[in-house]
Amino acid sequence: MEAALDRAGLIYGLAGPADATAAAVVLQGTATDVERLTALAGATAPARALVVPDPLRFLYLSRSHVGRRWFVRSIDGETEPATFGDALYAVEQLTLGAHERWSEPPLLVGHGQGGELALALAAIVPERLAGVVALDATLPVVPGWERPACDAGGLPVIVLPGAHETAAIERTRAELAAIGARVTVAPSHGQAEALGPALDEPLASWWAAAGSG
Amino acid sequence: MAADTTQPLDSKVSRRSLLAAAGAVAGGAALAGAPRVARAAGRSFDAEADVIVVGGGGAAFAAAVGAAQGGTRVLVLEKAAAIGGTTARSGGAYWIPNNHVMRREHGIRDPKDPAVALMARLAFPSVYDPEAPFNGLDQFSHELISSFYDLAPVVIERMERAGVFRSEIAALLPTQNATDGIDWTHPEYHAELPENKAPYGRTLHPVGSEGGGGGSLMTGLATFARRQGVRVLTNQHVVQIATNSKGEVVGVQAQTPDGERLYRAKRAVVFGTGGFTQDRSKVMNYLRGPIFGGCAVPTNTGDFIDMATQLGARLGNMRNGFFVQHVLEQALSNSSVVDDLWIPPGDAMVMVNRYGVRVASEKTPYNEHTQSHFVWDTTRSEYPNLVQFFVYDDVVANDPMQAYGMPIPAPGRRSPFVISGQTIPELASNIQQRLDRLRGRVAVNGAIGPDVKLADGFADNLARTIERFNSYARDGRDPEFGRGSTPIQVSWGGPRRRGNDKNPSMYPFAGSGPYHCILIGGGTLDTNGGPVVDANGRVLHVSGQPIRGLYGAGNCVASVAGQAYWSAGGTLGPGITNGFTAGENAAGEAEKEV
Repeated sequence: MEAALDRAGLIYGLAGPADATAAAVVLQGTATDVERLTALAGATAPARALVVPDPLRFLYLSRSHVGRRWFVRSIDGETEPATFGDALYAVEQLTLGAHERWSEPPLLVGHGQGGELALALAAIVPERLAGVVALDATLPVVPGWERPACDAGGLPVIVLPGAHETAAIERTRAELAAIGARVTVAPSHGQAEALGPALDEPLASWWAAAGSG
Repeated sequence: MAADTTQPLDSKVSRRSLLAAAGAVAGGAALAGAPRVARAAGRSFDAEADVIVVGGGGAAFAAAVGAAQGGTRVLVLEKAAAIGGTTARSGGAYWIPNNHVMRREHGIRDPKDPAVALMARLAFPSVYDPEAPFNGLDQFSHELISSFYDLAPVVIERMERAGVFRSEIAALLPTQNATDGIDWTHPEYHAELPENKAPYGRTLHPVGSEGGGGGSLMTGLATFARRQGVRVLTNQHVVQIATNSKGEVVGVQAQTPDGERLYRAKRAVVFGTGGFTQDRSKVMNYLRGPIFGGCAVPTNTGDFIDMATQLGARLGNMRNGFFVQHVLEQALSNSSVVDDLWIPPGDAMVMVNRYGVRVASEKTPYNEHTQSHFVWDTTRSEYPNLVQFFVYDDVVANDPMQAYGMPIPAPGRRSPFVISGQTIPELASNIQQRLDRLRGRVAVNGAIGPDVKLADGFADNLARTIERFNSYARDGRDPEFGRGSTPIQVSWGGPRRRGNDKNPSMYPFAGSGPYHCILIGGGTLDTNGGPVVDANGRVLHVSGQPIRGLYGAGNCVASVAGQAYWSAGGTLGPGITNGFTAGENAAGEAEKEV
């Protein structure tokens, strides 16, 4: 029954209601409290099953980042294209697998690097998604790579800025809006990075409105 | 029949375009359209430096730091969009014999003669003889090892004094067992050998990088280099070495997003461009055993081999690599391998070949263990251990301490790589189905899913193997392969299970299923063959004379370590030592006319 999800080659766990008819894919970042992110995804979309993959790579990057992460960010802060490609492909396959498994497009809920992958997929396979929640993340810029052309067809996307510069948030909003996504940039609660409890209610309200729209 | 979970769905993610963005262009392909050797005379240069360093990982930046002293102008040219190379993805440890931390802080002596003998034995075991001149090695190889012993501690201490990075000895983690009463550091991988007089303390890592930290090491090197005025350019795919009429190296030619560039090096060029793991043709032609992938960044396509051989460079150590095992399906599904088996966890666990028999101690360190895949069966004309089957019981699968690491997923997590069966015959049947699905699959790195079939009688043999293993576990002794008989196998082999007062690396399998299996293949951290360099880092011509103005270090040149991985940090120890030395000597070269 989980065969469709296995194709992605990712290690994952399942949570949420067993009789769900749709899923959310919960994409953690490098130092994410994954239990809290999973709970937040559950609060956002309580009727959905939750698919919670481990980030793809084991890396030693610095004292605070020994462990799993999705892709390599260079010591100069650039997104490394090959590892980003591996991660994007794996998460795309998991998303398509969740669509096949529950016969409904999944909601993506991502934090940090997980949020970046979710936003990138919003601009690549929007027709296979129900919506995107991106916490403490902006649309990634990958040196030497251009996303393929795409029509997002009204896909609901909410961006909750963390410590990002206003310019990066605005670029994210503008680029996604330009391909037809319905983008909401939530006012900064100062909680997106830490996944604070104040996020539950606004996200649930956003999804209650956007998810049915 | 169940759906084929190994078959991907239609993707809109163009991995090729992302790989191209990563700079993963094979050297040979780019060279085909370029002139044989770039002649520098009469051409204008796009930029000039005293020393040009090609590459952007640990060896390259150590070379940049070594060169950028006393006002020497250094230009670093990196093929990828970002610096860091494979070093930035690594554990960041470096193996330094007789280092200042072990001497001063722990009072450990590491005398030269036995240390050199230990390195010689492991590097060239087929000719090693402790009584023979040069320990049985050729004089050149022995002198390289001897020089490494002399240089390594000096270089690391100089780096520390200059403020590049400080070093500390790699310490045990809570899940690792202390041995021989030493409870503060890892044992060496070959602590038990009689030549090893300092089996604790040679493996260092940067201070402040808990459990390793290649990112910390790279940050230290690159930050210091830039502070010294080193100029760093990325997206520079160097494809040719430029020479003058005397055949001296005076620059390089690079392909860049803005077109071709010619850079002038007034004194010398140092290469630190990594191995050839990501060039399948070179892997197939040079390595002495079959591998399915590696940890090296996608730009590690052995470009220096293509360029230096045009200048007549002598090649060495081409058959070897720093080997490691991977989950086969991960190697077949990613551009570079995402994780590796260091020393695999699990006490009720065996690794068997397609006949269902064990082939090695499962707890030997990665470089040694991987070579068990390379065994050739002379009667059957096959690699019987090409794919190995990592089999463990459900107690290990559900014990958070036993299943603490790669490749066993944490309890409760679902891993697509884990094949399960209620009984051994059911497990065998499921393994064969998985093998059939992987067969012929072409991976994004060019590797191909192997044609492997479980032999008739695999399930019966595996059951007998487990029965025999159980009796070894009860005795605490593995008479076939000596599992758990060396310090490293105990220290890194996993935690001791409660109630096991014998050999902690073994425990009898549960009498009933389910049982689990993960497919394991051979791979590399990276290869380590290439142009031969002398102890000064100078690249040698086939005549034995240095090619003037050309230096190399790290995994792009013939490793001083031969076929060895001396211990943790065995890649970066020589890479940083010889990189720094090559950079310093390059800066001391005379200026060359164009």
